[in-house]
Amino acid sequence: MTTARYPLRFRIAPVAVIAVLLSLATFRPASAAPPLSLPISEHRLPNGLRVVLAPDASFDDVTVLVRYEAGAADDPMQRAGLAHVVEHLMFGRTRHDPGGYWGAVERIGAWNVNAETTLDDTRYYLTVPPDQLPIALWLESERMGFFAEDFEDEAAVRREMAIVTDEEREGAKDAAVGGVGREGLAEAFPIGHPYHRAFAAHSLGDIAAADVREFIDQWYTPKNARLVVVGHFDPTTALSLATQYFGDLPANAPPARKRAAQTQAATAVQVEMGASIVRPFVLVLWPSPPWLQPGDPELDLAATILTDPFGRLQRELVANGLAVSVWSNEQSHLRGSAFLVGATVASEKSIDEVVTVIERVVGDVARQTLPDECVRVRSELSDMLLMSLETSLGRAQRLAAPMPGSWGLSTYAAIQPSAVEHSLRAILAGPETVVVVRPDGRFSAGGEIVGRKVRRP
Amino acid sequence: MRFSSFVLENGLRVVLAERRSFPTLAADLLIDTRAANADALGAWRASLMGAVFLSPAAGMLHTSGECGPVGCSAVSSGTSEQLDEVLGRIADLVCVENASREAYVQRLGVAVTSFEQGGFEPSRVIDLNARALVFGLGPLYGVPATMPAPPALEDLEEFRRRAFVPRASTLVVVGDVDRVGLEAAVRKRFAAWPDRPKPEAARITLLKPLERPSLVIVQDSRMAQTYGAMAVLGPAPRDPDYAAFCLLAYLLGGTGDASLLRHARLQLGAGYSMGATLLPLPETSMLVVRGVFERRRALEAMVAMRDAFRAVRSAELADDTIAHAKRAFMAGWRAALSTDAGTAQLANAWLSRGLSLETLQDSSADVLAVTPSRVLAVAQRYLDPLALSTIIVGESPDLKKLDQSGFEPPEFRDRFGLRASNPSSR
Repeated sequence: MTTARYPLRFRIAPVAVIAVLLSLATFRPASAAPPLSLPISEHRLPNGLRVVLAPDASFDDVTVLVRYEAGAADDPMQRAGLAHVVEHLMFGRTRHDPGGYWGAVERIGAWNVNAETTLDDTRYYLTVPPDQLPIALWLESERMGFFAEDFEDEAAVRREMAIVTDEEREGAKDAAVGGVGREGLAEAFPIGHPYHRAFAAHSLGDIAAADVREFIDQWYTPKNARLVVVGHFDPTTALSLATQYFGDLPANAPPARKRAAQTQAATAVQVEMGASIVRPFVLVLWPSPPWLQPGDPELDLAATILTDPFGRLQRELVANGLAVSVWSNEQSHLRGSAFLVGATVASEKSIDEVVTVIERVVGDVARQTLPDECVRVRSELSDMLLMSLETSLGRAQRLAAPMPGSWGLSTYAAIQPSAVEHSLRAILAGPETVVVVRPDGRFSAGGEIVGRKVRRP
Repeated sequence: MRFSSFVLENGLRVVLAERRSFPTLAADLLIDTRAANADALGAWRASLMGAVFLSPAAGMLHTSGECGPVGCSAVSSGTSEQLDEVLGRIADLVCVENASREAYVQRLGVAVTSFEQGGFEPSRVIDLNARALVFGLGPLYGVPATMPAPPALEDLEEFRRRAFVPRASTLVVVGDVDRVGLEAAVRKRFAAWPDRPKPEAARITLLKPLERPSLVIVQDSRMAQTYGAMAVLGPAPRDPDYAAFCLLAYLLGGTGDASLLRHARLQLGAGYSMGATLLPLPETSMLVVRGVFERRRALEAMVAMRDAFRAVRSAELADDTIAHAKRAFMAGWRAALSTDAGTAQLANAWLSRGLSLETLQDSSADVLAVTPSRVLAVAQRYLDPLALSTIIVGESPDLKKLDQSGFEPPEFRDRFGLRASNPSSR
């Protein structure tokens, strides 16, 4: 620890921590021996902070990740974009680090330095050489405890609002069909659902420094956070450091979160968009169960059955020349998910025919999922889960929102064809949204809505 | 990381880096196609090649292929038990025809359309214009002087026949695999790849600074943001100046603490994305510093970018500033090497620049040894204002204000780097 550069605040932290879990998660790849052992221990500090430690001496780095359970769907009314603006501001100076976060992380040679705001959470992470772990932990404790005090920098808020707006324009306006998913999801999650406003808002709300302070005070508390450390480190030392730096931060309880609205009727809506693209694009989506709730992992399998390299829609749309490409996924969130199928329509082919084929093939899988398909995609998805654990950051992301079992590697192992069929039938009984984007040089690349109609009342 | 290598009878070079701590592996096959690129269609055809012949067919999981100005690559990854499958996917992509003629024709049509669609993507527009300015309107690394008609499938097949040969190829495998197992698997999948001579590489001709415009504007008022960049030619990776030039890339845009980022983002609040990319090629390199700016602030941001170039060549930078850039470089280096696929790609890129893998181990030390005076000397050598090309994509800034800010009169170009008329004169 280079205390000369980092004026550590002096705090006496409680030393007692409660180890709520100590496991040696073991996963045996199908034919690899000996088995892969990836130890995990989870602790809870008296102030409620969950600390997850996953040491692995084979790494030559260590990743620190903090996940706060507050995201875009927690923006207050009239304050659209606040969670994202807060995420940007969190790279600024804190009480004990007036030089600001960027200077600090570059002095310790960090990489993977980033943050992301999703609908449900905000994650901050960085990877450092092992000897810099103390500073990485200290920086995150500064963020959690000492950023918002007396924050009154309205100019910084305006600047970051401008940059967030720039980020949105880059992603949604200047990328080919960049705005399509957003418009479709705004339609799929109805007014009243916590996700609706997050997708429907096309500009930031009226945000001031006081809003930033209030948001951080409410949500950025140890009780609402999960600290994950993965890589080359000694767990005893890491826990001691976590206790020292985070242990005396106040244990305020976060507010209750907005709940999801009730299930919708089985309507079908079509949104028409124009964009500066060469070929038409269609997106078909259905609301689906929340992350890891019954039906959600099954729909991961369904999406893979439809559009992996052997997928049914690859055959029906791409191999048959109706579409140039097709993809699908189950976009999972804590308070509701969406099952999406997107296709770029081939030249001179009918958009309606492509939509019809998508609906028919999804229906076919709902009626009969073949055992061979199920075996194939279970294996594909399990391999992907394993391969994403190659880096310390990949493992930290997995532990930030943990999946059941050994690193979630068994998530798909027991799913049977009947469960895939049942999950698909359940979403097909709900509302469907179709977004059609037609080439039109008048509009930005990202697309703009030009019409809306009811396909099925 | 230690590399070992062997060569098959057909000339395919195979490199292995064992990393036994996690049960995954990645393989990266790079084919040096520079010789075959060296005609009028140049890199455009190469990009179509990737889409037509290196698109994964049914069943090819975790596999991708693409072609660029230096070569065509096919990469695949899997768990360690899937070594044979991973190599099989690459061999199926590269060594044999894995799709019907009808499918290839369809892919070509899609690829041509995608190329046209790519013209709407601002980063692609910047890349093509930067290459047109730095390498000229010509073959290999530049862009075609006129947009040619799309090549026929037969033309691409001829390219493939000439260029996709084992003697021009290197397969790098990184991960949980041993040498004996790898040799057997490689022989099984690649021994039948016919041995043919490697085409001779062409020589490139670089433009002199005064032969290109100083400022290019690609006018497109549909863009919500303004995309700005400055591009300049750099030394070859083998050149003693290269290590210092790498640091310059970090100093100009590759670190969160870079003065440009601080000024344009934190003081002006002018944009979200800013950065620098260094494209190393066997004979040379190209540095592009770029940013995405709010329209109204774009001119100020471009002035800040130009000032950042001036600053690094006007005086020696402080030791602390250089040390920051070195740490950022090391961070990027570690990130690149943190995965099997990243390591395989880096090793292959290294070899494609004509460098030996032994020097890969030492290259970070070369960068760490660079002194402030060396950075200044290299900046003065390569970042002469006459050598800089500025590119603005989106709504054109006010030409009068551009002039007042000290920029040269612009030349208008299209999305593919070709001359266009001034939109205000239409």
